[in-house]
Order: sequence, then structure tokens, then C-alpha cells
Amino acid sequence: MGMASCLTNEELQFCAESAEVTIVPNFSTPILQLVNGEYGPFRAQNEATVPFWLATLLRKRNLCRVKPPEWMKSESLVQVLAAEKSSPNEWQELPHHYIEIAKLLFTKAEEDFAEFEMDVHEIRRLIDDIRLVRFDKIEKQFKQVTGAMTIRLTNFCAMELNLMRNFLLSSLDEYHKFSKTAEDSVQQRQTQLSDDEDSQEPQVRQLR
Amino acid sequence: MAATTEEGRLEFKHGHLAGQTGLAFAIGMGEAGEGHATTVVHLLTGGADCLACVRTSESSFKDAETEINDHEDAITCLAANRISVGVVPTTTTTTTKKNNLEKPGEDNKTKEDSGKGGMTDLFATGSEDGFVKLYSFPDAMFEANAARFELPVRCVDFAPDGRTLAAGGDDQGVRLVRCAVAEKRGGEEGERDVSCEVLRTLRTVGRSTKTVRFDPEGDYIAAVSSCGVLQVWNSKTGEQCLTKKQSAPKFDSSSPHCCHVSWHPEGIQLAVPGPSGEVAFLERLSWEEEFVLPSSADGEKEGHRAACTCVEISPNGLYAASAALDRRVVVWRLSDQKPIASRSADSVVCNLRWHPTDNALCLTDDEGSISTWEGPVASDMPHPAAVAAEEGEEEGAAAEGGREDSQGPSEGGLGGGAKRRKVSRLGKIAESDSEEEEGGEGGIAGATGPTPPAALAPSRRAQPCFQPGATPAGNSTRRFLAYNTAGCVSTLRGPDYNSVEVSFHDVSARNSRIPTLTDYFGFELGALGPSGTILASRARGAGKPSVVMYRPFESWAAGSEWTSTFPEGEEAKCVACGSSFAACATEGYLRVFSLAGSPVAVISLAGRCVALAASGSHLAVAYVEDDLAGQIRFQQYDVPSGSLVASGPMCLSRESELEWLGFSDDGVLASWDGETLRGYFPESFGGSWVPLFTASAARKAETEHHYVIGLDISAREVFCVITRSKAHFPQVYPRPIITTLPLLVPVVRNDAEDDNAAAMHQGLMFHRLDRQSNAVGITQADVEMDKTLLRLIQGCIRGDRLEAALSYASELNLQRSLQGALKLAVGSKKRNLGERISALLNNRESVVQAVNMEKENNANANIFSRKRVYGSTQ
Repeated sequence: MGMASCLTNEELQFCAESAEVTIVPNFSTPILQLVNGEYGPFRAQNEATVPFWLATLLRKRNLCRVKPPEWMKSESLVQVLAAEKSSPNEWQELPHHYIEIAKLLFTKAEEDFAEFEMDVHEIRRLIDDIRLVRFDKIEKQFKQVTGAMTIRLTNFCAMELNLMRNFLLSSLDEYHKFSKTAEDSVQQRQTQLSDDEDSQEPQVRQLR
Repeated sequence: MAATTEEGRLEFKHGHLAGQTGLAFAIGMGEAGEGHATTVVHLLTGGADCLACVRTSESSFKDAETEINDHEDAITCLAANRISVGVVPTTTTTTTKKNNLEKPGEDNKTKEDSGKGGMTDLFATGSEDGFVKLYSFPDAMFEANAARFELPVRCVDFAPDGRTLAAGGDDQGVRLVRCAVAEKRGGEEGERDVSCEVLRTLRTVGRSTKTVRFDPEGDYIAAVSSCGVLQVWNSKTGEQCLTKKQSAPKFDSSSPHCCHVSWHPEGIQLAVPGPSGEVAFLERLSWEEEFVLPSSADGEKEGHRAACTCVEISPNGLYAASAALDRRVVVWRLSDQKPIASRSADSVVCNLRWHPTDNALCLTDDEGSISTWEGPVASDMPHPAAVAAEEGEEEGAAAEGGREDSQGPSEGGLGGGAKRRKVSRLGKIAESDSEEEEGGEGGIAGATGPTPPAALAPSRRAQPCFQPGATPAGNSTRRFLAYNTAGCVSTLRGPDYNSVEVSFHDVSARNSRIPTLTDYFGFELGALGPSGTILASRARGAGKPSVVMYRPFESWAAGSEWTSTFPEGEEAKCVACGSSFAACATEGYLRVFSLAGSPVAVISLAGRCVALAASGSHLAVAYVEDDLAGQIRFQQYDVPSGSLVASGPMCLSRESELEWLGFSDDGVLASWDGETLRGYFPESFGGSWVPLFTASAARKAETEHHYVIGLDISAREVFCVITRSKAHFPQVYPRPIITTLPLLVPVVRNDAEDDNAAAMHQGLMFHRLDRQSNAVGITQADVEMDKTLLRLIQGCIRGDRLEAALSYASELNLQRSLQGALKLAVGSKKRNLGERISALLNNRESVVQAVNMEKENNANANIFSRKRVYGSTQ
């Protein structure tokens, strides 16, 4: 428990920016040697793969188009949404930072969707639907928790984990505390019993 | 087929202002004569001047008899109903009077125009003001507002019952409107009350509906949206039967071009104009493609070269007329899908209708003008409106599509019998199709059928002239005039003028944008050079000769762009632009200009030009000497010195045509035929074409097509745009993405060697070519080559293939490498090999000594030995 376990959305977005994305630059340069690695070489109108932070930097300067990733195609999103709706206990596999990536693309490179023949409004709606359906499912799952039971926690993405991390950890802590107090009380009773035997005399003394 | 080689032109006459036009034929009552009611055909048009006109046949539809000016905005569409005769109260009999346009001698063929069941009593207009208004016919009185949309109406059509209307536009959904007509009580005879109610709204995809058509039996409605989606609904249930993306060209919602679909008069097929000039015929119910009218890209010479705007099947279903953005109208015979006539126009025809009874077509273009094409079907062929009378007679003949009996389905009510008949008809059509394929149509069957007997030079149809890097217009108004590794020249077709834009892939390369050119010439050819663009227009009729224009990107002097007008009869076919010259090929000449516009050279070509390419100071021309043989030859010139660098035959893969001709970034002439990329090396084996890249090896999926735009031999890369659609060309929008692929000479490796060695052999091939072409001094390439050879030698020694090792050793360039090879041999205790290598080394050294002495005597040491000298001194 504590603040360290909970990241803000901005922090999550920062983490997401290290994911890779395909861009189509409109400039040509040899390999860029940066502190954390080498990127490029870039060729005008040729595809290149760079991390998101570099893509957004270039996009801001109008030096590239960002190609939306494959999973963002509306056909595959429609499939994912249908699968999410049909199975209440399973979560579909999506990129770990899908919400953050979508947000980044929608804010920084909205115009580029049309360039790749994708409908940005439709995709935005689909991703929002997927996000809501998944959040809703998580909520429902936790509402079912009454006693000891197992929940499959696979294919969660960063933001969803972030949502339930605090709750999960604190509730587990609570459980732990309860179980501890239960043990303690048992122990206490035992020690009390032995203590009682020991302390009978003094008590008598005190009584005296 | 008797297709005319010299295409006639359509003469247009002003009808409306420029914009979308509505066009419909209405059949009205003529003056009663001899106790019979007669029919008169009227043409109804509506256009951007907000007028709807009723035109009579007396003036060949040129003059407006009645003008209606009700709409507040441009009229975009118009439809007239046909109502079966019994419903029209005033009619007693229906006997056809021959129309005065009709030619004599066809009387026996032209039956009564029972075709669509008689008379027009209502027509509807749709306008950009959002109203669909109903008028009575023939008196053209306003009856009612059939529908009110929020956004412009783009299309309207009547159901065959004449009382149901479908309308669509920029609003979502196609509305079905029921028009109830009742006699007005207490009014005069003929006065009516028309009330309209919306039956249902059919859900559409896409922003705007461009065209809507009722099936002749009223069961289905077909619509095409502005984004090229074809949809078919069941009109009774509103259920969607078909949604097909990318089946039709995309036209902007406000564009005058519409992509009109057409139903076979019996409803058995739906014709849909395609994005690259083809017309697809979809079978009713299955909605599968039954056949296609080929475009020019499919190998049909007379086919359309750009996206189709409309198609219309003739009243008897034997023919179809199609118009496209290439400004041509083609009439097809559907039985064998062959063009039988074509016309060209100065503007794009965007709406056309067959005359209901005559052998004539009425057309409107995007300028709002109207034209009538009389006799599109030759008189020796069945009349386009005539219904085949006898079933037996027509069996198996070309007139397959004729109606089996004269009443046919025109009665509207469809019994089970009629349906069954249709099935058998479909079967028959399928049969006749397969027969034709077997019957052997050389052009089409040749591609799929067994390959013709082997011949060294297969006699292919001589290739027409093309501009490397240009793309056909396809389904948009934009196309590339030139596309290469540096940038592109694109043109946007507008109603009055085109806009030519130059853009570079690398925007940082040039600090200022190149202003867009407003093009009144209609440039169709372009080439992008290192310092400017050359553009050329084709001759466009009398008074509009072919013009060539050069625009430098930037210049220190004002007015550095120049134009040259070619004399009448000479037309630019292909252009190219080098670093110091611009070239243009015409029918007989190759004209070379300096970049300042002065003519530098005029060369008579030894044949017909096929393509031009230029890079730096070099200019290459590909030409066909003999159209029958079809062999393409090339010549490569150095323009500043006025000398011939190389010449010879072009190499092409079997069954393929030259698709691209150009120079690599390092100045090697290269050709691409869709399958193999070849480079011409004048020094290699006395000048030879070397295969550098094969599409079959690089293709990831069957549908992929590589559109080569350039190559770099020293970096061993080819630049191409990979297209996956049927059209093998990149689109202007979305901007194409260039893919860089490695050049791969198709080397067959020794079975004893591994894949690693194969890759090294690749490298060696390029090293050898490189050494042959620039054999001056010692280069990094030589060192690289030796490294590869040493690695191969090592592999051979390890694999105990000493003979191979020695042959590699003899190819080493540097003395030092040879010593290295000797060390390798000795180190692995191969004494025999070591001896031979040292002999090789001694031999070289003696040559070097001799050369050294010779060099002292005269400084004319040849290039080859000079290399060794350099090696020995290290």
C-alpha cells in the first residue's frame, strides 16, 4: 500500500511512450545516435519504427505521419469488442498500454488516420467502448468476491491494473490483517491460558 | 470487332450550368390521330441553373418546351415514372406511333414500347435545397413536395409501380416515399390530389448517397454512396441484401460525377461502374460478379482508361453504354462483352440514358451540356430498343439478352413461371460464356490457358507509348503525372482547370514550397527533373494543339518558365527531364530542349517511341521499330556531348509489357516489366541486361504488385510502392509509402554450399558489375570483394573443396589478400592448395614487376594492372 503503487495517468502515458510505432517520415537522415539507443536511418516516405516519444516529437514538427498500429484497424477492434461482450470472464489480448497509445494517437496524430484510410471517429468510439466494457467487467468480477475464490487476471492492460491495484492490495492487506488478528487472538488465548496458570499466584497476591 | 479506330467526338450543346444534371425520358400522349392515342417521347433535364426543362423530340431535345423554376438551389436529379396504361384514366388504347426520329426500315423490329409499361404521369426533381418535388406530366404542374431533406438531395428514382419514389442525398439514409394520387373532388377532370408519406428509410453507409435505382421488378433498390459502397436492399422488407465496399469509384458528394448503376430491364443483372474503368455485372439474388466489361488496364484497347461515371443498359438488355472520367463513352455488346462503338468528348459525361424507343443515347456532361448520340448501335446489329420477337429464332445468337416474349415481365406481377424462366436464362448465359472462353479469345484466354508454343520472341501486340511513373486517373480526380524517388507531380482535375502540384518526399530538402500551377492546357504528361518539371498536354481538337511547358523549381531570373507549342498534327507522347535538358518524344521525333527553352536537338526516331527516361546528362529512349514484331529497342544518349552511349534490344519477360524505364541513382539504365527488374551494364559482356530483382521472389502475397520507382545499385536497393488492389498503381491519396527492398540477382548456388555462401555470391555479382563499370584505381568495393572472397575460400577449405578455393583465390584483387589466402591454406595444412596459391602470387608479382618496369618506360599502364601495383606496394 502507499503512493508508490499507484501511478497517475500522466505517468502511465510516459511509460507507454516507450512502445514502438511505425512512422512515415518526410525527411531523410542517417542513423540518429541518441543516449538511449540508435534510431533510423530515416528515408522520406519509407516506413520506420521508432518509440512513441520520438514519433510525437517528429509529428509535432510535421516531420512524419504516424501509422496507426494493426490492432487499431476497425475490423479487428469490432472483433475484440464482440469477444469482450460475449465472454464475461475473459479479457482479450490487447497491447499493454492500449488506452494510452490510443489517447496519444488521437491527440497527437488525429489527422494521420485518414491518411491510412481509417476512420478516426469510429476507432475512437470502438476503443472507448472496449475500455468501458472491460472496466465494467472488472467491476462486476470484484463485486462477486464474497469469500475465498479465484479470479483470472490475465490480459489486463496497464491502466486497468492501475485502477485495481490500490483496491486489490489494500483489500488483500485487510485480509492479511484479519487473518493475522485471527491468529493473534488464537495465540493470545493460548498464551493467556498459560499465563493464567503462571499468574494465578500473583493475582492471588494482588488480591491480597 | 468493328470498333472504330478514329473515335468520333460528341457535340454538346448548352443545357444547364456546370454541375450535376438530372436526366430522364418521359413518355407522354401525343396528339390523338385516327382514333389512336400516340406516344411522344420527351426528355426531362434539370441542372445547376435551378431549372427543370421538358424537351421535345421535334427539336432533337435541344430546346426546352417548358421550364420550371421552383427550386431554390441546383437541381441534381430527376426521375420520371411509367405507369401501366390502365391506371391513366384518359387512355383508351395504346398503339405506338413511330417517333419522328426513328429511321425507316426498323418498323418490324420496334414493338410497342410496352417496355416499362406505358405513360409518364409524374416526374420528380431533387435539388440541393433539400426538396424532392413532384410534378405532373405532361403539363409540368407542381403537385406536391415528396420529401424534405436537411441536406442536398442527390438522387431520386421511381419504382416500376410509378407510385413509389426513392430519394437519397447527403442526409443519412435513402427514403422510400409513397405517393398517393386521387382524383380531386369537385375539380376539373384530370386534377388530382397527390399526398406523400415516407414508407421507410433504408440505412446507408457512407456520407452521401450518389445514386439510387429501383430494380425493374420493384423488389430491390440499389444505391451507391460517395465512398464507393454499393448497397442493395429489399424494397418490401427494407432488409439489406448486399453491402460491397470499393465496388464503385469514390466521388465527392458535391461532385457532378455520380457513378450511376443500371439494372437489366428484366432485373437479372445489376451493372456497376468500377473504380478503374471496368463495369461489373452482378447477378440478381446471389449478387456475385457475373462478368465484367474490361477496362483498358484489363487489356481491352477500347475500354475505359479511368473511373467510370455511369453505365446504362439498353431498353432491351442487349447493349450497355458507359462513360468514364477519360472523357469517353463506349457502347458494349453484352453477349460477348465487346465494345462496338465509342465517342470522345471534351468533358466528362456524367449522366446518360438510352432513348426508350430509338437507337439513340442522350448524354449530359459535367458542364451541364446536353448531347444526343444518334445511332450508337450500327444498323446491321439488333436495334437497342427492339425486343426479340421469336424465342426460337434468336436461340444462340448474339441477341441472347432479348426478351423471350413480348409481354414479358412488364406486367409487373411476377408469377412463379417468370422466376423459373429467369433461372433457365441465367444458366444459358453462363453456358454461352464458357463456350466463348473455350472458343479461344486470344487476348484473355492466353493469360490463363496453356502457354503458346515456345518462341524466342513471342509476337506480342506492340506496346503503346507510356510515361514512366505516371498513373491513370483511376477512381479519383487526382493522378500522378510523375512519381520518382525524389518526389512527385500530381494533377487535380477541376471543372474549368487542373491544378498541378509538385511535392518532394523529403520536405527538408528544399526550403520553399513550389507553388501550385493552375493548368488551363490540361497537362497529361509530366516528368520531375533535378531542377524543374516538364509538362506536356495532348492535342485536344482543333485550335488546341499539343503544348510542352518547363517550370524550374527556382531561378535567379524571373520568367524562366517556358512553353513550346507543337505544330498541328504533332502530339507529345512522352517527356523526360535531365539535369541540363528536357526532352519530349512525339510521333516521329525526339525533341531535346535546353532548360532555358532553346531547341538543342531534333532526332528522328527509328520507330515509335514507347518511353523516355533521363537522369543527369543521360537520356534513354525505348522505341518499337516494327509494330508487328513488337520488339522494343533502346538508345541511351549523353546529351551534352551529343553521343550515343549504348543501344540494343530491351529484355522483357514473357507476356509482360514494359512498366517502368529509368535510371538508378548511380546512373545505370534499368527497366521493369512487372516481373523482373533489369539493369543495363554497357561494360559487362559487351553490354548486357542483368536481372537485379524479381517480383516473384519478393512477393509476400499473390495480390501484391511492385510498382518500381527507382533503384540504387551501389546500395543494392530497389524502391517501390507495393499495391495490393486490382489497380497496379499507387493512389495520390492516401500518399503512397515507399518500400525499400534488396536487389537480388537470381543466383543458383552450388549444392555443397550453404545459404550464407549464397548471400556472398549475391555480393560478388554486384562487385563484379561494379568493377566492370568503373575500373579506375582501387576502391573500397575491391576491398569488400576480397573480404567476401576470403570468407568463401575459408568455407571451401573447411569443406575440402580445394578446386573452388583456388578459383576464388584467382579472383582476388589485392596482393595482400592473396597472401592472406596463402596463410589460410598453409594454416589448415592444405599443401597442394598452398603451392598453387603461391604460384599464383609469384605470377602476379612478376606481372607487377613487368608492369612497373613498363610503367617506368611509358606511363601508359593499363587500368587492370595498375590495380595490382597498388596492391603490391601495401
